[in-house]
Amino acid sequence: MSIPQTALFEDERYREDSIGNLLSDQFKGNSRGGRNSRFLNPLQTFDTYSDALLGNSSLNDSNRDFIGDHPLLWYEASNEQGECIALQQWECVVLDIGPEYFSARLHDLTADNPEEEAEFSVEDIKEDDLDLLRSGAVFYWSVGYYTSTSGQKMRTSIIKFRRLPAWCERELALIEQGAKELGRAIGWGSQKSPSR
Amino acid sequence: MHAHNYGHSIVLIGNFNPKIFHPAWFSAQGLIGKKEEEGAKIEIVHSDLSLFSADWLSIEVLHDRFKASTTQQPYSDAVRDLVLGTFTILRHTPLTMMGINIEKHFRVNSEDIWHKAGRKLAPKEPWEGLINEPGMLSLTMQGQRSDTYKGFIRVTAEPSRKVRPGLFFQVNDHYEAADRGNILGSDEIVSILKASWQTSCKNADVIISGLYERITTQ
Repeated sequence: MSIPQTALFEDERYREDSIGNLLSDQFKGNSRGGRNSRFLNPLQTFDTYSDALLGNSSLNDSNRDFIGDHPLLWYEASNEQGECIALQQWECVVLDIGPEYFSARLHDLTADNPEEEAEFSVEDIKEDDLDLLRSGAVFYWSVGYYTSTSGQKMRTSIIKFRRLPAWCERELALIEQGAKELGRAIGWGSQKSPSR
Repeated sequence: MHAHNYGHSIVLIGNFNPKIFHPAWFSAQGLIGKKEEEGAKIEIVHSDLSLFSADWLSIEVLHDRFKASTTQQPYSDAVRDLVLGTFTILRHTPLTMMGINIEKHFRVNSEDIWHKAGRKLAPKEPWEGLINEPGMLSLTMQGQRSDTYKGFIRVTAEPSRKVRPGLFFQVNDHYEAADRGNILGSDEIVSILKASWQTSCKNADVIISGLYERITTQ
């Protein structure tokens, strides 16, 4: 694959935003389906869209994206992810772990509901995440529906354990320093115990 | 009201070495699982560009831009964790700006409602007589931040190209380092991401659902 240097690296329009359309829309297409107007079909605007829907256009789907200036490169990557919409999501903390089940405290991310506890099957955890299962581990639980790349839609429940890098020495030192400062501010360590 | 399609991304602007952003590196750092690494589809990993997808995740890296994204809503927090983890490890990577971007496509009940939505966003009167059959292709509004960070919020509305008839909304929650000319590492942007993620996601939902309601109701 040749990279069009001009468009990728010299176009200042794309340096000052953080939307991230550079590759996704210009070169491979993304969930948005193309942002830059030179790749958009004028038939797909509001109010003039009916003709396209009714098949009155002389354009077919394969050339619809190429109206106007021709893109330097159109790299149509397939969406390997499929798509998933969450109907409800929780952030959970593992409490107790048994051989087949584990319990967790659930914090609802979708609505302001009180915290709850629930039991999950260990079998519901992805193989990749099994070594992350321990008391105190954080995971996200979502229920929703998944649409495969072929368009098949199905209800789904997804458990994803949180992955963060281990604390480094610098961070531990910062935390320790912060704790000491907090202790000093509260007066711990300098105050005599009331029993003395 | 639930979206028909969904996208969530974090875009970082700074200086990157694309070649190191390989599935094996993320796996070695514990940021993705071994199976996810093995199943990753690598489009290209090159000194100028890295581009791969792994299960729920897509990564695109240029010298001046890093993007992590998902089209699976249950994994949006995992994208945040991956970015936090990556730039906690690569803490000397200078990051100057960040965008937290949410994209949603909605199906609307009828073409009539869909056309009216376009007219509410961009009235046709100023265009009449100037161009034939004016129709809105894309509208972007920019607002000021309501917090203390530098940056702005951009909201884009377009006809959906995934759902017909449908509407597409994107919220670009854009943050900038306080002193972009004097950035030594990733700490400031990582701190902003940690502090702002939940608020940013909730705000984007409020903006998108509010706009949807306003333009699709009579």
